[in-house]
Amino acid sequence: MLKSTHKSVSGPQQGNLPAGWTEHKAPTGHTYYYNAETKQSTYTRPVTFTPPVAQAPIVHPSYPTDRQSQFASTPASTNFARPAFEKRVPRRDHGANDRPKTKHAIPGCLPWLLVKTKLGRRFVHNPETGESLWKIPEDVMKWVLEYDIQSQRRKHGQPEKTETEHSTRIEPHQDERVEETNEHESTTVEAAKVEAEPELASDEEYEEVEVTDDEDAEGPSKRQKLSPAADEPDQAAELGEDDMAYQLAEMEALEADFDDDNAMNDAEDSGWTDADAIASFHSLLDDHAIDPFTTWASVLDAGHILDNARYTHLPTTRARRDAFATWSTAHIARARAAKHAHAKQDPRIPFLALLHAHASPKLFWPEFRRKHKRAPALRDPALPDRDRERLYREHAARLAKTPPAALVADLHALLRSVPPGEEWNAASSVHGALPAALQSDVRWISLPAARRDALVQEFIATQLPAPADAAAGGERVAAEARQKDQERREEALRGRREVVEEARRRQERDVRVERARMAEGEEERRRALAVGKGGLVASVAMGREEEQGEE
Amino acid sequence: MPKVKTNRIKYPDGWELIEPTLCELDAKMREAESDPNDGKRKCEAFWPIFKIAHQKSRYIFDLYYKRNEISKELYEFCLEQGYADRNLIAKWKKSGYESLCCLRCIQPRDHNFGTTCVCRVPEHLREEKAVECVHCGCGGCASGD
Repeated sequence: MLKSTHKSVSGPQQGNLPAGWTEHKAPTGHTYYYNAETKQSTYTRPVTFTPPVAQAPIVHPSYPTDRQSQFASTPASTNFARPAFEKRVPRRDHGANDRPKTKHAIPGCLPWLLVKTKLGRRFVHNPETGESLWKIPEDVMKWVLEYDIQSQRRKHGQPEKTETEHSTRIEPHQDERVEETNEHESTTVEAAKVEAEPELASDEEYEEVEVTDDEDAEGPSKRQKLSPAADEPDQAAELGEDDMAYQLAEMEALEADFDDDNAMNDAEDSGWTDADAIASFHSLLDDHAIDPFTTWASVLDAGHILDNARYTHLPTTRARRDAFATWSTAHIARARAAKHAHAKQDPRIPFLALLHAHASPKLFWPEFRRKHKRAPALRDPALPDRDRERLYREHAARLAKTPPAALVADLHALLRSVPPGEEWNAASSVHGALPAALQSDVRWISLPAARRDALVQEFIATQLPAPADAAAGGERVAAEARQKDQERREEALRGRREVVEEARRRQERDVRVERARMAEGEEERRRALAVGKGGLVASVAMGREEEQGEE
Repeated sequence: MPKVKTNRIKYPDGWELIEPTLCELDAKMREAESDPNDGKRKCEAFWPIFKIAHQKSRYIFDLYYKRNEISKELYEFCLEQGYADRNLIAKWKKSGYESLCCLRCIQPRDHNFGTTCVCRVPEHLREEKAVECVHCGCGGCASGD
């Protein structure tokens, strides 16, 4: 048996250490013993030949010493408790680190206080007499129980019944905690187990003293623990079809109000309008890069959009076709506007781009023209052939004769020649869209593209004033509006999805209830049909019996 | 003497936009033409061809008259090149024939009693609700439907 650390402190024998053992003081104040030969250390005083009976039982000051009187109150405990408690001996150790935590006045008998300790044990204390008892006296016990019931009621807002359940639930917790704390000690004392063994006999007495009051608290709870356990199978058996039906009906009743509210708020809550549905359908068409000039039938035939959830946002195919028509019209209009803007482009710009890519001073103009006669820039009727030739000759001459520094200087001059304004703003916000006046000049293509772009970037960053927010700001506002619209639509869609989900759930539940009702009817019919040899009267009587049994 | 090309086609502006769809429909038409009509009724053999011809004509008609997406030149070009049936389009412009399926269905000489096809009868007036006309498989092309 393991022993308390206190014990060694108050151990009666001082000079009686066996050979090889030395006594030391731990930093915590505990005395421990060390065997230099076996390198063993233990808190328990090692004993060799001393008879264990010689040790007096150590009694906690607050424990009543009168053992017999306690046992008188719980006569059965001595018989069955001992083997059980021998298993968890370390229990008494929590006396070392247990502390009073809370105290409550017991309503019935006033001077007495019910004190709960850190480890969840409790004892009664009388501040007037200075008495503290683990074993709660009979007369006080009565009031303590009442107090327990009341406190439980306060905690759960439930009738008395739960009290017993609670206590049964609490008990194991206490044990756990106790064992937890003891595990620390048991590890340290493990080595001493063998030496402690002879002291068993004396320990038992002490244990019983402490154990009895625990037993007293535990006893009733154990008995109560049995009863709910015995009840449980009955409850499980009772949970039959009728209960299911009842629960379903209850659920229905609960959700009925909710449903009504929902049905009323369906339209406003979701915020999902037809326009949103059409917009989402349009976004679907956008995402699939569908040709706006194609027909609705071929879109359907291709079938790419059919799998998408957005396809179902519009309820009918006719609505989808209309949405497709509006979408394609808008798209074509946009494409046409873009084309118009493109058409205004200076014809020299694509030609100069071609020169920039392919022209070299080694080729004469006729050779170059023959070589690239398929290029659209050379076939464009907007630019006369004479101009093309002139541009080519100029460019070739610059490439051949002008030094690079002069080319750079020319580019700078060109950049400076374009007044800062609308076009530059567009250039700094959108890459590549530089002023047309720049791109249609032969000086623009004299330098290699990378070098020229670096110079232009530098020029834009250093020489130009910061872009006025007029154009870029407008663009940003439009983008933000689009973004916001998108978000709103998503939100609305989520709302709609919830509504749909709710409707689906409702339907499912209806089906379930209906099915349960049907099963019930089926069962009834089956019962009615099952008339045995005893005849109708006997079967009716049996059915009644069954019902009673169920109840 | 070099060969003089006489079949040079000058495509009008905007042709490249409608070309893919028309090519697709042409391909469909070719497929329908070469499709073996095994197991079909005699009258059923031409249904897909009528249907695709209708689709092509309708496409051009919509683009020019309904949506105004193509120029007059392109429209004329499409009619000249045979991408659309100008006679059918001519009927579509008349009231009462806005969704005519094919020209045969309004040809009294092709019908008993000098009438038109059953698909021309509005749905609420005919006895059988689901029809497939014998000429082009039309399920009903009355304007009110």
